[in-house]
Amino acid sequence: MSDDESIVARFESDIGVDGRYGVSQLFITNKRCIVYDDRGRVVHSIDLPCISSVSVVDYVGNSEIKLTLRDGRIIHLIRFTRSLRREFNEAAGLIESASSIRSAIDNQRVEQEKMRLKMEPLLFVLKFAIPYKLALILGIASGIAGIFLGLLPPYYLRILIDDVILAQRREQLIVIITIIIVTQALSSALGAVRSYTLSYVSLKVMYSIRVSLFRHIMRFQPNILDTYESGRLISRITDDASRVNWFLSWGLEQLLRSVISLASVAAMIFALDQRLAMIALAPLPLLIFGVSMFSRKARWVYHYEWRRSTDVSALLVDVIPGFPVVKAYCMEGYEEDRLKTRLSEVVKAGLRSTILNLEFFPMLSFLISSATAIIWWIGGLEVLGGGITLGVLSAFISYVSQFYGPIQMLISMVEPMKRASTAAERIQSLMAMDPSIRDSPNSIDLDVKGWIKFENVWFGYTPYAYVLKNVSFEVKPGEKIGIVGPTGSGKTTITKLLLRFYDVGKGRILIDGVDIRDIKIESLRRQIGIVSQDPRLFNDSIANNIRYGKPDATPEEVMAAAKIALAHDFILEKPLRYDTPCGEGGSMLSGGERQRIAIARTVISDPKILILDEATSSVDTITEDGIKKALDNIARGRTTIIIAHRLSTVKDVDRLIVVDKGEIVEVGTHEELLERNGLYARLWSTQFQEKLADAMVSQ
Amino acid sequence: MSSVKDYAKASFRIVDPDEVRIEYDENEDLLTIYIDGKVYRGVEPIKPFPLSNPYYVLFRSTLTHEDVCVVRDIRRLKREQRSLLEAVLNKRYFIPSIVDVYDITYTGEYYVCRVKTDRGDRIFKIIGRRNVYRIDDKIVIIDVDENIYLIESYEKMGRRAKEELMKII
Repeated sequence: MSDDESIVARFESDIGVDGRYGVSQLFITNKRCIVYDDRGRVVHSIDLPCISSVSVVDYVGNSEIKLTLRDGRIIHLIRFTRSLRREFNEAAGLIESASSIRSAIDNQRVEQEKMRLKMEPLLFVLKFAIPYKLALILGIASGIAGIFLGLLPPYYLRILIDDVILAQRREQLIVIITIIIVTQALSSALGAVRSYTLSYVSLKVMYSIRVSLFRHIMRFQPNILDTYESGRLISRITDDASRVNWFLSWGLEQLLRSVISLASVAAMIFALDQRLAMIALAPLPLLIFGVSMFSRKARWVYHYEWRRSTDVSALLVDVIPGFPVVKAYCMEGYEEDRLKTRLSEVVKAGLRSTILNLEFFPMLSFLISSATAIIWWIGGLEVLGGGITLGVLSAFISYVSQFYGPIQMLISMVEPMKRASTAAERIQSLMAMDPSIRDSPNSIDLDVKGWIKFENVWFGYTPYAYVLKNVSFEVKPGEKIGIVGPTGSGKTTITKLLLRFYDVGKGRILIDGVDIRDIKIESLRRQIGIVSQDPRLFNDSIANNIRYGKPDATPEEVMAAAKIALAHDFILEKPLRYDTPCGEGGSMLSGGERQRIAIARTVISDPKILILDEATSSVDTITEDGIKKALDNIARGRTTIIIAHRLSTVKDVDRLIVVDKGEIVEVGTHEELLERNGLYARLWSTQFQEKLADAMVSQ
Repeated sequence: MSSVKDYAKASFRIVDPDEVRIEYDENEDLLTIYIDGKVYRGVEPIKPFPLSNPYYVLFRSTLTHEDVCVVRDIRRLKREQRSLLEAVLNKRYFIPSIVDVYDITYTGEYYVCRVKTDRGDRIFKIIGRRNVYRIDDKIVIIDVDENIYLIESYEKMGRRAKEELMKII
């Protein structure tokens, strides 16, 4: 290396140059990227200015960085297993742009800083309880006051025995009994205040956590589902929120109450008799040791048990919605066996945790009762010897029973506290995530006319694994174009980029000459309507589903949109007309009905740009004809992009763009493309022959 | 490119309740509508939003399947016109409002609901929550025989009724 060359980053691969598990290293300097094999020999040394593009190509079980040099040569730079995918994506990024080196390193530093500054998860979630602090304090205070009140009855017991019963002071009896009754009444009242206020806090905190999480998730784009599966997001809002909530309301209070109770009871027993107090506390070190042993073991046992229950839920979530398939294939027995296997695992795991509890808790009870028996023995001897009174011994025994209650409470809280902490951590990490796609500070509201331009667009769902490569095309306002190509060619990705569900890797997308990253996301999406292959309807009435596209639509607008979508007539035939429930995901409607309601939902928003993504591919021919007419109705005068696998649905558009493996390979009208005899012509001929064969079979 | 708003205006003629005259054709069980000197025979009154907007009525020709006109609030029709129309609609839309719930019992297969409605007392069966759904603040119950019942407002129900309803909503 020359003096002015410095190493910027080093990446170690887990596959050697011979294709076996081993080591090879990639060094990126400010001038070159160099690959060394495991013996330190240079395999590749490429000057950065010679590189024209870099990509990461995925294979089964491994990937590689591929360089395209300016002279057209391809360099297979380095291979690595999928475990190192993220690191080598970063490497590809560094190679690609020398200017990004500094910022990438800075970003990494900022991330590390962020991690370092991360708050303790349980402290982080504590902020949700702040708005209800008065109620929380009242709840905790009434709980603590209840503890102190609970200390009084044994004290009065001592007075009752020594100063009233044994002293034969009949007139004092009613006074002591009244005091005990009033104390109990106060204790019950405080208990009611505690229960109500803590329940209030619990419900309110749960509400706040769930709303905050939901609002936070809604700030993201659909690409969040690349990071979190929808089930996991739902679990954050439901399970994790309730676990954290338990800690914030009941857990925290029980923890404080147990500690204070322990301290105050300890103080009382030491005040009564120090020697007996030492005996009472003797099992404590053993208990603490036992608890730590138990919690260490219990963590895995409970986790195991929880995962087995999750397995059952997962199976049911899978099988119940797929019920028709199970019946169609007569697989009821098979599914029952699968369920039985998983339920057996739950039983085994449950028994395992029961055995663990039995290994520990009987020992705990034995220790406590042994200590109590010893106190009775030594205390009894002292009473007989006149060292202490019977009242003191009774009060002492009563306090000792109160002493072990909080200990048991603390033990039982170990596991839920751990669960709450884990849940808080998960919530914190989700809340710490910032949406990668958001409005830029200078973004504008744009009154879209409908001119679209893709300019050298590169994009990959994972960085540098491009599914769109250098895509450029233009659509004029009011023009209707079709995008066709084999499955997986990148057709739908184009629409996702236009809606800015993802940002382009390289290049830009312009609408009316403005980069879409400079248009407010809401403004952009309000003016683009999309009808997809399997539209999602919500479990609400038909009217409300249509109004989803325009919440303030008048009844006439709802009906007009339905009329355009050729849905009005079939809706009016339903008993509850537009108030008919659609069912979960639209399950109470047929596929064609669902599709037409989805079209009405798009229509009512009056989009300037319309995207029809395989909008008719899942319906029968008659329904398709109806839907096509509906779509022709709404497409008139709007910029329309039709994505279709079935070429007959797009042959009449103004222009067809043929995409293959992420690249535009042909552009032209149906006739022009047939004449060119390229990919489109081949696809057309294949589909035409399939249709012909189908027709012959049906005849 | 015309907007949905324009299309709605062109497709649905909203008439002033004073401008419309309605006659009932008993033989056909349909209506004859007079608007601006024009006569539309064989017209069926339809409530497109029978639960969420029950006074909104669309008049549709059974001959041409065209939407003749819309009256946004039939309560604004002249008294005798309103009575006539309501008599026709009440048959077409028999949706009793539940005003009280005596009890709801679970038999292991069905929930048997004993209720008081604005059309009299009634006992009906539902299978479960699937037969109950909310629309705005109203609750709609569809029994096993596809009869429909409406609870205008759960909050306004009596205490006992609310407690009973908790079994099914």
